[in-house]
Amino acid sequence: MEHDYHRPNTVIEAIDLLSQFGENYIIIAGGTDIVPILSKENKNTSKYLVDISNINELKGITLEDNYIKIGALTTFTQLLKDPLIREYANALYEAAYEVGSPQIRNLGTIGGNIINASVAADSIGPLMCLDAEVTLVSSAGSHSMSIEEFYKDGKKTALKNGELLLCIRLPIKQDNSVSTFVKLGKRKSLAIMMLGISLMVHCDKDVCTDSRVVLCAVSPFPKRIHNIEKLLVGQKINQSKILECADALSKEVEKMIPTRKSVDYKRESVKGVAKQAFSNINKMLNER
Amino acid sequence: MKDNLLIVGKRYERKDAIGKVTGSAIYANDINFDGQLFGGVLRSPHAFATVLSVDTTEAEKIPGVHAVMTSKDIPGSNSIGFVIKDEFVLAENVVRRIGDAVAIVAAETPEILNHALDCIKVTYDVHKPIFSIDEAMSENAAKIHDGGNILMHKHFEQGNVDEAFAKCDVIVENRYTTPMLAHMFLETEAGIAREENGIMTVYTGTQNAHYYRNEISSVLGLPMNKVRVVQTTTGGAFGGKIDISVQVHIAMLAQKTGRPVKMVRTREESTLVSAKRHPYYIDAKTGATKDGKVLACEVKIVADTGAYASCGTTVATRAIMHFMGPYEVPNIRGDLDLVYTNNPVAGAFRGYGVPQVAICHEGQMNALARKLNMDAVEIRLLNAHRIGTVTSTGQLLDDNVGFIETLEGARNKAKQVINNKIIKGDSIRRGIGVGCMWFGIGNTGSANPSSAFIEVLPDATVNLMIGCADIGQGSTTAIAQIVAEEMGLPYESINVHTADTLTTPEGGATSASRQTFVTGTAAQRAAKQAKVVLKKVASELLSIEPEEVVFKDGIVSSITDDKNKITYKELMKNLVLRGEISVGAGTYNPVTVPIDPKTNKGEPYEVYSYATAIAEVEVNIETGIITLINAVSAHDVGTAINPTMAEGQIEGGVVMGQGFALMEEVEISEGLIKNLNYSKYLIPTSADVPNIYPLIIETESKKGPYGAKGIGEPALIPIIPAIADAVEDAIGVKFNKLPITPMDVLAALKK
Amino acid sequence: MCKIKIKFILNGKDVEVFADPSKRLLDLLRDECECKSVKEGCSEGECGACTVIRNGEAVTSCCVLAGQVQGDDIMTTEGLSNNGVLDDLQNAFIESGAVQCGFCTPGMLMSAKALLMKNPTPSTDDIRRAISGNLCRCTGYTKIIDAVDMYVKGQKGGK
Repeated sequence: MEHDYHRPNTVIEAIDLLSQFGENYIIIAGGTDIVPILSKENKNTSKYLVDISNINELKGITLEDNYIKIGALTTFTQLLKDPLIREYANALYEAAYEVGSPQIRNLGTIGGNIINASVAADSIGPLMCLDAEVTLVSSAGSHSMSIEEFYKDGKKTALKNGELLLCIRLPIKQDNSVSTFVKLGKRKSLAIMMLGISLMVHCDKDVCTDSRVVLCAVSPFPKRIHNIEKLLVGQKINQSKILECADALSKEVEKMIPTRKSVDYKRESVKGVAKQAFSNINKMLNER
Repeated sequence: MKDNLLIVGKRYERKDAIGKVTGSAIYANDINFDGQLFGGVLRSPHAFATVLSVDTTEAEKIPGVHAVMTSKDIPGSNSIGFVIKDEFVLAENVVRRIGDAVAIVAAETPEILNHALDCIKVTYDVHKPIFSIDEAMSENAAKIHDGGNILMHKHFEQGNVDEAFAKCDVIVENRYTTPMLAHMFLETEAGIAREENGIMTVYTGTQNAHYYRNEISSVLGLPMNKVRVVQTTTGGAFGGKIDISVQVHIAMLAQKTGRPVKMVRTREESTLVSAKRHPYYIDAKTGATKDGKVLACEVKIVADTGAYASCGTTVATRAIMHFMGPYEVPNIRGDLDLVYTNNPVAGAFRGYGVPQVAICHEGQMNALARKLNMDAVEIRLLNAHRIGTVTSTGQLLDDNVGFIETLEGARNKAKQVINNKIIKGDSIRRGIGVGCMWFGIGNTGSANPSSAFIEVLPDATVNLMIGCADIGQGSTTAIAQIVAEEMGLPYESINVHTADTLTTPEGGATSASRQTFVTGTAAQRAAKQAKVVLKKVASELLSIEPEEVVFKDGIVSSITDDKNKITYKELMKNLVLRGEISVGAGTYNPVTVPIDPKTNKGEPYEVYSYATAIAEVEVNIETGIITLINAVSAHDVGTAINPTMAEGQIEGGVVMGQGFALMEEVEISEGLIKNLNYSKYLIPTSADVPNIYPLIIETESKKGPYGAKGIGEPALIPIIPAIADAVEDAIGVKFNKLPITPMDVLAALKK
Repeated sequence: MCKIKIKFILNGKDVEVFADPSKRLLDLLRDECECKSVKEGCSEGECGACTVIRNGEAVTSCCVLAGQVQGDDIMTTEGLSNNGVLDDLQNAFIESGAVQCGFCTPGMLMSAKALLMKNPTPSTDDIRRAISGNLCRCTGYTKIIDAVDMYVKGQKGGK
């Protein structure tokens, strides 16, 4: 298969190419999702390949005002290495730790994970529970939206034709908030997520004042479960509250996928995953 | 390690290791010839259909296409098959499974090849496929093959089970279901064919170069000595590279085009087409006295062999010989139906039916132990095969039975390394389980000879030629060690040339865990023959009798006076001066006695390997996730020719067994395999493996080269039922269907 | 189709190849750079047999396009030995019995080497994690981990 390959060096060059190619382009960053698909295609239909992996503006993790700015080309290995992520975005750190394999972590980018938006994408749930914002750019200009907004449609992302994901911004909560991500997979590496929970909790003394509860790999995109978030606010995160949340999550799963083959398993196992997530949260709160 | 042996029993480095760690070892896809074409196959999308027409005219016209072939272009026979020739090279009128080959193409580039394949027009009359065994066995079922859908029925009986069951104090009855599994060897099937000096030469990965030669000869209509198959370094096989894959197709295309033709399967094509492990459905009934003595054992087995027989009949024959387990059971009755369906083909896969029946016989033993409140190892010790046991076929085991030693060895090791029931949290349960096996070495009661040639060169180095294909298990190294020991030469001086039908004699298949035993013996015999002239000349030089000549470590001396000696090199110089040449040939076929159909008595194997595994698992009762923590696996191998390689087999077998018990299953929908690649067919990664404790148990034996038996398949087997038993110990639920997935665990706990 | 000049460092030497940039790095290395050690096992980044080291990191070359390695520093197993003299890591693999069919071996060596380049004294758990993207169907991974352990101990002990 021979394609029309382009390697822009700047964002401007890239979005210029995208606007030229209409709907007929494929963006390549880390390549772990796209290159295998391209190599297995039999058809001799040529495509425009836009390799953005050389664009420095899309790289790097920096502190900007009260945000951590993560370039779209940041790999999972880079996320794992960066002290800012470890310190302020533990859920994202934990997600990066579990992604694929060493090789996939070295190649795969957070931008690719967000755009490809597979059901089992590891980073999206944590980004949601960390109130992430995405910035998109095209020849028409740039704009930002919350990651929830980006996935609001429920089936496809809000990425428009000709748009490029520039960066992800995570607001730094200077306060006592902790986050975690627990992934349930069929094996311990190269594992596709069967189910996942990302939690963020902010506590004032013992009492929860803010929370995010995100359920992953049940619906096509991760979903914030607002009623469970409300269950936590103003409460102590003790055993009975944890069990209550676990049961509530179980009911959510039942509501979301009542006829799916996996519903029996996911409805039960989500309780175990939830308990693990809350246990992580409590451990972190005790350590602070 | 055994006394008096200098080379056998030592951890020599593999003969082929350097090539593999430098990346210079040549696998089939690494070979490229000038002018080579790329070959590909057009396959049926239907599971059961009549082929009405195949129109290749458009494909043939495409520039860069050098050949498009269908069944009418086959020069010789269109029938192939390892045991029964019920498969075709290219479909003539019927296709019986998704993936059957209909046409082949040779073209200058992969792109042109794919384009040509797309342009071949095939019309089918699609029939209603048969995917269920029950349907296949029913009276009015459409015939998948002319002889009917029940390919084989096997019956094996001794004593009187019905009377015996009446006398039992406890009886356990269970239905065991084992999954269809895929080999998932890392190197997919590949080969390159070209005519060299009037000989059609095929370079390919394989478990049996000589078998491939025979099929190519038959299909191409060439004499066998005008076909040459050379085994390239083979990246794993486990039974999946016994059947013909690319070899006949590329030979046909090379013959037609006069150009070299290369074919490499994608991972998806490999998984789609190659034979799988037979799923077995086993109804079992086992009875014992209240003291735990097993009196009777009965099984009814149904196996789906898919669209073609492959090795299904011999797998079934082995299974029916082993179903009672390594135990003295006086009354047995086994029935096995092997059935054709339009499902994917099932054939040879490590263990060859024994893993399936071991899951059953061990599941039954563990059920008896629980019912009688007996220790799992104790009940086995009571019933175990030992020296003096007469098997169900009336074979006296008077040599080389180390089963009890594996039970005791595993139990002792487990005591050291397994921390009994440490509970990590209230959602975690730990459990310990036991599993055992026995495995007859060599083909079941049928001929499977091997041969070897040897030449001692003037400088006392050796060329050893064996047809035996090393598929990664290390036969080349082990047999070199055996020959070095026999010859009394350093290991380094033995050069082994393998699996090239032009230059190495018949070696049989690398299967049935037979190569160390059979080719090892043949090579030892060849060495002994080569030593005849060496002894003659040495006896003259040392002024002793030929029987008094001793060869050890490159020195030739008198058995009564070790100072009366010369070096091997000096001996060889003298041979040359006297115009003598040291060569030898050896053959060996295991000594077996065919089973008498009336009495069911005979000796289906010359020796048996035994093993015991003890597994420790952790089960998370909230998520259903099962983690294998520790695995002890003790194997009676007679003699370990190379302990490092034996351990490597055990460790690899434990992890493959872990996959079998907990992760792996071929998913089929309407005859189509859905999980064709590693992303969907899950095997264990390094992050999943337990602490593995391999134990090598050695016994005294007069059989085999220096008392060696076999380990390749035994290595996989005992851990599988041990894991199932451990899960039951952890959560109190007996799983008779494998693999045990997290979904199964939660569903069972809910009940 | 447009071929372009792709310049990179391969096993310590400057290399210039005229090739289709949309080709996979796997194919570039095998077909145009004589690096047959790089094996294709699955074509989807799931088995690790095609692992090479790129700018110090282990990557599955079946997921990388040739055009993307412009200016990069690539190592394959061919780059481990020096003029026929095996690297200590390769010797450790041989001595430990970590090699059976050998198809996963080059990828394993690359993943191990990438780990050792960043962390010369990894723990057994570090080693296990470093090869967790390399599948092996023969060895059960045990002796491969032992080999890297042996190498690390050998380096500490000063060979």
